[in-house]
Amino acid sequence: MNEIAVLQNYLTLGAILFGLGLIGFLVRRNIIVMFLCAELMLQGVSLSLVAWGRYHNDWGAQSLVVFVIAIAACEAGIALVLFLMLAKQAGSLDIAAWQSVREEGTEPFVDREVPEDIEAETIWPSLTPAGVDPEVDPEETMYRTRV
Amino acid sequence: MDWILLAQDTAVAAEGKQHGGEQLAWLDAIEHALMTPAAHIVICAVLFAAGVYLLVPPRGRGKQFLCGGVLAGLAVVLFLFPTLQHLPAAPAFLLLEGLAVLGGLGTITSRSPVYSAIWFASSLLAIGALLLMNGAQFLGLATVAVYAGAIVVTFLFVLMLAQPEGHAVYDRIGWGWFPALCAAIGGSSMVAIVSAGLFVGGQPTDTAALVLQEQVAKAIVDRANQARANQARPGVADRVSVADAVTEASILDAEIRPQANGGTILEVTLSPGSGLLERGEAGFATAIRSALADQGSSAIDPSTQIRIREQDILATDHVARLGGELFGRHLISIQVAAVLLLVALVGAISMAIHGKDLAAGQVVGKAVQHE
Repeated sequence: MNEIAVLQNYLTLGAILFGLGLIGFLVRRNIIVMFLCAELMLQGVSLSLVAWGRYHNDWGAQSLVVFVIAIAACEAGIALVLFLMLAKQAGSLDIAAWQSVREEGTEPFVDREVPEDIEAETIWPSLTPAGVDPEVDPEETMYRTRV
Repeated sequence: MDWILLAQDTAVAAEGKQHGGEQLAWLDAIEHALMTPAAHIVICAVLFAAGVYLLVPPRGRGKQFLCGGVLAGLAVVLFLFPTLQHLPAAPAFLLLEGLAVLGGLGTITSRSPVYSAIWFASSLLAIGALLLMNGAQFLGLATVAVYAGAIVVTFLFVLMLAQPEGHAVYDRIGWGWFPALCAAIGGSSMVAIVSAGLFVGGQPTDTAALVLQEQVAKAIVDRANQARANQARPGVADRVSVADAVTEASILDAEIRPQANGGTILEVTLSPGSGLLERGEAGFATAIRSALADQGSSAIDPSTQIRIREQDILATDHVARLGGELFGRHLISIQVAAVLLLVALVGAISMAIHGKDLAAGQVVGKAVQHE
């Protein structure tokens, strides 16, 4: 009975993480953040796999997760090189910059209602110099009496 | 679900006082509808969708951030609560799961992609700890070392090379409010469907299953103690050898599962290292049957098989067993994965070197028009 509760708990958490990754992938426009959300989906799946492996006492689940991690590393390497090339050509990390590869007949996406950045520049206070200038020894200005 | 039944009892009692004893039929019907697993999941899904919608760009400023965070956090706690109360270390689980979900929320909502990467790394740490607690020690450490240590660091390097300063426009507004709403609804319905499949199918608070587990545990412990006593007496041959006293905590689980050919099977899972199965099942199955028959339990019939096995995953030499499985059963897959890693490495380097030659005659990206 305990084992079922552990299984259900981990499966629900895996589903929540997968759902969060899915939502993030669909909502964000930055290529790198989209890829991070895809990795988040992979983490949800890994958790679910390990939970099933424990429930059925099967090592195959954890072996599959090992391979998933290896493939995720390959995919991250190649994808990041691709993103660097895309960013260099387009000038930004926005995936909407590559709209020309969209389906024929669909409207292009246009930015509307661009909000201003609310974070204002902070003006740091500056202090006017105060106090008396120190006395200058005329001999010291010519040569140093001690090192 | 214990807490839901308790809430229902108190609600009914309070209502009895309020209405002077007469139960309004429609109010009763609404209450009964709300206390089902389906309603619980629907409420959680709606809260989750609303919370996440308020958090992702273009929303997520000021009060929306707070409301969205509270709603999403409440939804996650309600999703996990029915199963959490049956886990042995519930506060630790809640803390780690909360951290993982918080990291996930931070990843998808941060305006700065560097912050997204850092939130993702914190989520990975929590996920690594959760994997550790679930009997995947090697995977927990591998997740932290490979994912958080290598992949996220590579992401940060690429961000250093490509990300402009400040918060870019496309990070702040996303695709607009309508795609965000659709994505939130779609994502939360997916989570709700998975949870519905879990909860509606098998309730974790089945009292009959609890009773069965206790009976089976007691039967096994009695049999083991009897075998120990027999060993001490000279001249009595008993095929069970147990090293130390067996307690009921060694019996992790006893469930009845349906089999593919129509029958049922009672599966008993022992904790690893209990030493109960060193010389075979010797008498445990008959002891279980006779004990259950004595107590008049109708859980199993003579045609139900009984299978007793040790939990392999939680064994002390877990990593050695995982290595044995990987290099024994999946040896070729490992070699293929190694070659794949090499090919990916070579491919990435060649793409980086020859990428400059692709500019001519290919699709070129343009900045998005502003209205």
